[in-house]
Order: sequence, then structure tokens, then C-alpha cells
Amino acid sequence: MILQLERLSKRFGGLTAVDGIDLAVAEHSVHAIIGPNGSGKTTLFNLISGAIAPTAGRITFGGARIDERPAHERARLGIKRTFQNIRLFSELSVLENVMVGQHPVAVTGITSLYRRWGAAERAQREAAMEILASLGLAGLAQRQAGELAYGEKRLVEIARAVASGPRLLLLDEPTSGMNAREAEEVVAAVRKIAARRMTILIIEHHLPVVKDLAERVTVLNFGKKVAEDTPAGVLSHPEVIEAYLGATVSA
Amino acid sequence: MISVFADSVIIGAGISVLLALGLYFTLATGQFSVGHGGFMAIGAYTASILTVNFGWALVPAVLCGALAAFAIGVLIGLPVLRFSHLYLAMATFGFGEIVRAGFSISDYVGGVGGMRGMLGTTAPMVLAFVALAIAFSWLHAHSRWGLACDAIRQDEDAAAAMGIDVRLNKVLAFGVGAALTGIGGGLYAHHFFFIDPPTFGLQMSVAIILYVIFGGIETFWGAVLGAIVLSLLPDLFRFLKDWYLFFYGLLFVALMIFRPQGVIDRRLLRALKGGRR
Repeated sequence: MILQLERLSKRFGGLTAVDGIDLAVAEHSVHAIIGPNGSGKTTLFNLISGAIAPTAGRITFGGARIDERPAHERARLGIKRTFQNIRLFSELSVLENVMVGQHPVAVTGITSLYRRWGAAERAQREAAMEILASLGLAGLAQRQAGELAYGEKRLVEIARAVASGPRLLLLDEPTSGMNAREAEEVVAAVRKIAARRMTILIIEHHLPVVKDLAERVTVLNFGKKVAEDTPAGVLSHPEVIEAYLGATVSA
Repeated sequence: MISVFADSVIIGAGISVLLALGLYFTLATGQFSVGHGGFMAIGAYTASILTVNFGWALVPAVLCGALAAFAIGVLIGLPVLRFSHLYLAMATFGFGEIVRAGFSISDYVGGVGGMRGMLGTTAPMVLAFVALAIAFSWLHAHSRWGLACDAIRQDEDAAAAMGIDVRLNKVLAFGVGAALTGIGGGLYAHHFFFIDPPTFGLQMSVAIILYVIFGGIETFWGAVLGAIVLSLLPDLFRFLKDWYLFFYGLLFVALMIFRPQGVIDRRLLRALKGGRR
């Protein structure tokens, strides 16, 4: 298990957004998280990535406890994410966005002032171009990120997240707001990344996409885990049907 | 006489460039400061004490002033850079006032009466410091460090999620900016022969802000251009006499309407050199 959550909770005032969740993600697997709006999926991602601190519980990544570490340290340990509402550095070029994503593996800080001409830096730039090329984005490298089409932005955000070769990739609704063709491109990209044996935790609303990509599915409702199973199995759980379609009316 | 006048114009513009670059580094990580007059004061007084009271040569004294400003910049940055926007403006304003008040009550540096006897700033010396500062800024803009600052300025949370230590970079950039402003302060003191605490008050801090806003905050070239143009304006438009400040205000109102990002932005730079970072 590369990632383990134990009784993880997050309370915002009177609201318990994440309520005592236990979750184990197997290495090299694609694990999906589904649930209705407001069920705590994005909060869970924010807890794992370190954007917010948990109220209770623990997070273990690769055998080490990480719940008290800041977000940038978790990224350096190999947890990278995308955001539900795409958050690219819009004034930077596409290539520069991917280069920021390489931060954990590139030479950064003050010494980077004179390393620009070094072999290591050149190799990193080439690696960034290769990542763009592998996702079919090479032609966009010099474009300003803010000027791209919606679907392109999503793919660049994924390229930025995988640029440092993370061990765990968190994808927050990567196909939301997309037309069928754009969504298909994203799914193809995720499949390519999964084929590199990267562990992927994905929040996804489209059940066909979940069936297509994931080996395990965890279902959340009102901040609680209500089911976990294979994609085929999970849809037959009564709790899942209730969460998605509402409570069955009993006569 | 002409050459003395030209020297003085070059020195004045060069010092303004150093001050503006100092603030640029703060803005480059999305921070803001209304207290850069304070860092200028620290650089000016430190260098002046070393040359006047200890007989140091000017250049090492100025560099020590920069070091002092850097250290205090980091020390102030650690608590203050947690704030944002208006709160950060208030905190840095407070810092500037503390520095000013501190020098006012310190008899060792002449209190409110100020300090005199500094001299030795020459145009070639100022130009050398400016050249070094521009070279440093250029390297920064083209390095991973500069890229990290860009990322922080645009989206702190996304930058942190990419592995960038946001706090460390902010504090470091604040310190570097303070150091450059401190250099400007040291040279300023030894150009005008005399300094007193009010020199480095809010008016000075605002003047530095205007340099950077006029030139544009997206690239360091904006700070350079803004400082040069705005420090030449009083001489170029001397014929306006009493109407000068009216014109000055009008210039900024027009700028905010037609080009709020300042004269130089990334798009313009890209167009000038045809792409590539």
C-alpha cells in the first residue's frame, strides 16, 4: 500500500467534510473516488496533498507519516495533483509550466542562477519537452498557458503534475466540463500515465470513465466512506444506489 | 558644469534603478511593500556610519549596508510575509515608520538633525552597481529560481503543490530586494552628503512604488525603465513649473486607464525578441 489514510477527519466549524475515512491505495493501481457533490472528495484530496491540515487521523505515504508535513514537502516526496478548477500559471508558457512541475527533480534555488547552461539543466528541459510530446502537446510548448483551449489546459496541467515522475498522482475530476472528444483525450492520457506504473487516485463523476480506468472504487457520501469494491461490484451496493439516486421509497 | 549636471542626473537615475529593482524582487513573488524607504535608510545609515565614523572606503561600506538591509529584510519578512494585500501594506508601512523613528531618536547618527560628511559617490561607481544589479536580475529571471518566483506570484497553492517552498522563496526575495534597496540608500547618502530620517519616509517608499508601477511589474526591465524615466521627468519637464505635479498625477491616471500593467509587460518583451525565455 503506497498511501494509507486512517480515521482521517476534517471539520470546518460545524461541518464535518471528511468523517473518519480509512483508505488504502495499492501501488501501481488506479483507484477512483466517486460520490455526490459535497461528499468530501476534494477535501480528501486537499488533505492528502497538504493544502489543508486534518482535524484528526493520520496519513502514511510510502511507509512514512506525512500528515504534519507542508504541501511542498509532500510534492517532493512524490505526491502531485491537478485541480478541479484548472490552476495553470497562466502568464507562463506551456513549457515553463511543465518546468515548474519539475521543481522536485531539477536544480533550483540560488545555484540555479548559473546552472542554466549546465548539462543537468539542459537534460531537464529536454525531459520537459518529451513529456509534452508524449501527451501530444509538443506544438504548444511556447504558447502562453492562459491562451489555450480548455481541453488543452487540462492536458498541460496533467503534464505539469507528472513532470517530476511522482509516485502518486491525484487527479481531481479531470474530465469535468469537457465535451466527449476532449474527455476521451484526457482518458487516453491517464491511461498512458497509468501504463508507466504510476499510482493514480482519481475523482471522477462519469461512471463509464471509472469503469474504464479504475481497478478499485471508493464511494463517499456526506464525508463518510460508504463502499469500496471493484467498478462492477460497487454499482450493485445499495448504499451507492441510494447516494446517487436518493433513498428508495418504501411502501 | 554640464558634465557635473550630467553626472548628477546619471547618479540620480542609477540610484533610482537600484531602489526600484529592490522593490521589484518583492513584487516578483506577489508581495508588496510600503516600507522600502526603511531598507533604504538602513543601507544609507550603515554605509554612512562606516565611512564617516570608521573611515571605511565607500564600496565595502555600501556592501555592508546591503548586508544589513538583507538581514533585517529576512528578519522582518519571516513574520510579515504571512499577511497579504492590505495587511501586508500596513505591516510594511509600520516597519518603515519604525526605522525612521529609530534613527530619529538615535543620537549616535545625529537624531532628527541627520548625518553629514558623506561623499564619494561617482557616476561610474553607480553605473557599475546598476550593471551588476541588472545582470543579477537577468540571471534570476532566466533561472529556475526566477521561475519559482513567477509561479508563486501567479498561484501560491499551485506552486506549493509543485514542490516549491513558498515561504522560503518569499522571504529570500524580500531579503534580496531589501539588499538592492540598501545599496541604493548607501549610494544616495554619499551623493547628497547629508541624510536625515524624514528623507526615507513614506514619500520615498511611494516614489519607489511608482517607479515600478510605471515601468511594469511583470519583468525587471519595467522597474529599470520606470526608474530612469521618472527620475528624468523633473528635469525634462522643468518648463511646466508649478504645473509639474498636476502633470505627474495626470500621467499616472492615464497609465492606469490605458496600460495598468505598466509600460513594459511580458507580451511586449516577447514581441521584441520573438519568443523564448
